[in-house]
Amino acid sequence: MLPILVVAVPLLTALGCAMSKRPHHREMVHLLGSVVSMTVTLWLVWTVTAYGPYSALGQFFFIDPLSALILLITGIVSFSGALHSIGYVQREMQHGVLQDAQMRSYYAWFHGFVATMYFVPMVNNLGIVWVAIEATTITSAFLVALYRSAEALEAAWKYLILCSVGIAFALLGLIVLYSSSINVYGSANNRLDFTFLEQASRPLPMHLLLLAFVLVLVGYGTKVGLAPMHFWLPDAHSQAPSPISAMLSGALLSTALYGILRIVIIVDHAGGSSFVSHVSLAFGLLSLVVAFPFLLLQHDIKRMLAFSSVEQMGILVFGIGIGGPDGFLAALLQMFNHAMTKSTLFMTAGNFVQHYGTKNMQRMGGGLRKLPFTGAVFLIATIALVGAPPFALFTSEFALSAAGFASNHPFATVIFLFLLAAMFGVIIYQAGRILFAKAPGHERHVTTDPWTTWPLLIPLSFVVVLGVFIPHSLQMLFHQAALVLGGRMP
Amino acid sequence: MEAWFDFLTIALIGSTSWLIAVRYIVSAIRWLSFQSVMLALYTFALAVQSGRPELYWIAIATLLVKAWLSPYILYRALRHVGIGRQAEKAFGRDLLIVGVLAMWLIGYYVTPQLDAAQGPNLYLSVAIGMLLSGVLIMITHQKAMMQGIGLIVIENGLFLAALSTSLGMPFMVDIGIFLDVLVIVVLIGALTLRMDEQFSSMNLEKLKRLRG
Repeated sequence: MLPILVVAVPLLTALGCAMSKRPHHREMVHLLGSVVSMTVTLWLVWTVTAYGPYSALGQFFFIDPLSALILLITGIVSFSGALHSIGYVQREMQHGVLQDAQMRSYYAWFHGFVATMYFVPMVNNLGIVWVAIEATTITSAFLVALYRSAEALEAAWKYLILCSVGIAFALLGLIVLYSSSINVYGSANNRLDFTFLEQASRPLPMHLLLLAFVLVLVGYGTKVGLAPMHFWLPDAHSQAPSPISAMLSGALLSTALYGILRIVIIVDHAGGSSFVSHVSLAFGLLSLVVAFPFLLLQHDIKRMLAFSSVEQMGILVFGIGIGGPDGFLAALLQMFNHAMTKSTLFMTAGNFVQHYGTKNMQRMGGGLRKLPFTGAVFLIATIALVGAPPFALFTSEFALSAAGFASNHPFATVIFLFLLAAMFGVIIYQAGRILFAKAPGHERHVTTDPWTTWPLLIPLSFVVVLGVFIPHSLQMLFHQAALVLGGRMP
Repeated sequence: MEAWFDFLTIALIGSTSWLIAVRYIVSAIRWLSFQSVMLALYTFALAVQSGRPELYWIAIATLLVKAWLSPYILYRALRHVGIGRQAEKAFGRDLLIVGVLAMWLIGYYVTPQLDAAQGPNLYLSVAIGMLLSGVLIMITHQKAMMQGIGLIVIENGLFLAALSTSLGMPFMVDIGIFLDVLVIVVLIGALTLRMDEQFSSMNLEKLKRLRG
């Protein structure tokens, strides 16, 4: 019954937030719901790590270590986002940017969004995974449009339309997969379940599998923000309220990537791994190349972070292309570390934007002096993001490059490393502008609120600690998830 | 039965091709509804032919969600912003007709052979053609609502693809997709209203603030 609770708690919280009349009550419901939801999710993740895959309602819900990892990422990111939201929304209301009705819909859709994200990795049927991923687009589109400004409307519209069209191609891929599965095995209820397809004994026709893979990669790839389908991403991630940006970048991108990972396992199992590998390497490198100039010339702090997400998703897909036990493990580590780092950064960006009253980095400055806590967190997280030691992303990027050289892709890995070095320079330069440049004249007076500062430490602590030491239970989860991704169910 | 399927398919091709060239948004909504009724009849015929009870439910759901509710929501939104709005195409009508014909041809040529024993599946070709025509509608129209209509044409194409290859997706999946489509239509309606308030227009030319 755990999976039902994982979805039901945020749904009930959403309902509670929508129904409570006073802002203060709403915050209490929100806080309580977030704590309970986090507890239930961690409980489920722990159960899977300790006792192996968990299924419920027949096999409708099936949570293996790979799903558990996605649940864990979503859980941590949305919990810290929930805490940060309290301070963020209070300030927006003080400044008169948000009204009471908007606050209500913020909290209600927040938990609706969390519920749909939890649903994605828990269901067994790939068709329902598709439905759930489409549902995450819908719930988060409401949040992107929250500010009702011209920019927010434009971002929400692009997000809804581009992602829906993209994901339609993923559905076509799943239709191809389903019909070939039915042709080979005859009609039954479980023909689109990943537990069935990942262990299928008779091979499905290879040309159809590869066609399904390409369609799904392009479809979900739109949602993941892989170049050249990334155009909606910087808009939506920069126009959403900052805690939501943190969840879009940290949790939702990983959730969408999960949809691709499931197909990768199926195609690898059928013997199509070299095709998967080449296509993934190409998409990964392309995303890195495309993100670079936009990072360099960016003035908007949130757009910069968003383009960095495009780059990071490129790294992840590159890691999937490298493949092998080491490559998969490194890619999953990278996914976790990116989620933690990027959500920290988006929340700090929220604090900066509220303090300076602008998203333009040229009009910020002296961040380290003006906002000592946020500035210090931003500095650490930026250094971690570019992959400098001793932080977590260094470990995973190092492991990824090592796996790249060990496998048959030294040339691609060399290009990959050059691009990483270029990103290093660009992001450090951009962060320096905010932290160390001369402070501008114009600032808003914003009171420091504990809700906007200390929740940043939750994801940040993972970034710092995992760089030097990975706890045993977490290590087990990563190893088991990498085994699942490598086609060997534990 | 074959003749019946062929008739419905021709109706689908005709309505999709006509949708791309209509002058007023309101007639696009009507043709969308007509297209969905044809799809519901197709599902119904398939249910009779295969004897599967869940297909009857899918046919009813299609009629309810796609032929009635979705067009009605779009119609309501359109009435708020003005019923006489034109669809505003980026190209001339002749060019669009040529374009949509090209989509049907491409659909025919790229159709994968799913089952070597059965030979080519023409219905799947039509479905892929519909999907591509939906994309074409979205690319060539400047009004926000027409993009929404293009999106539903794409969904209809996918629905036909699933029906013609494997008698629809698993029941739960189909119901989930219907729900998603319904909420997307609501969202499209709401966003077009907001855009019309904000810019006094729902022309996508106005959406050019976010660049780079």
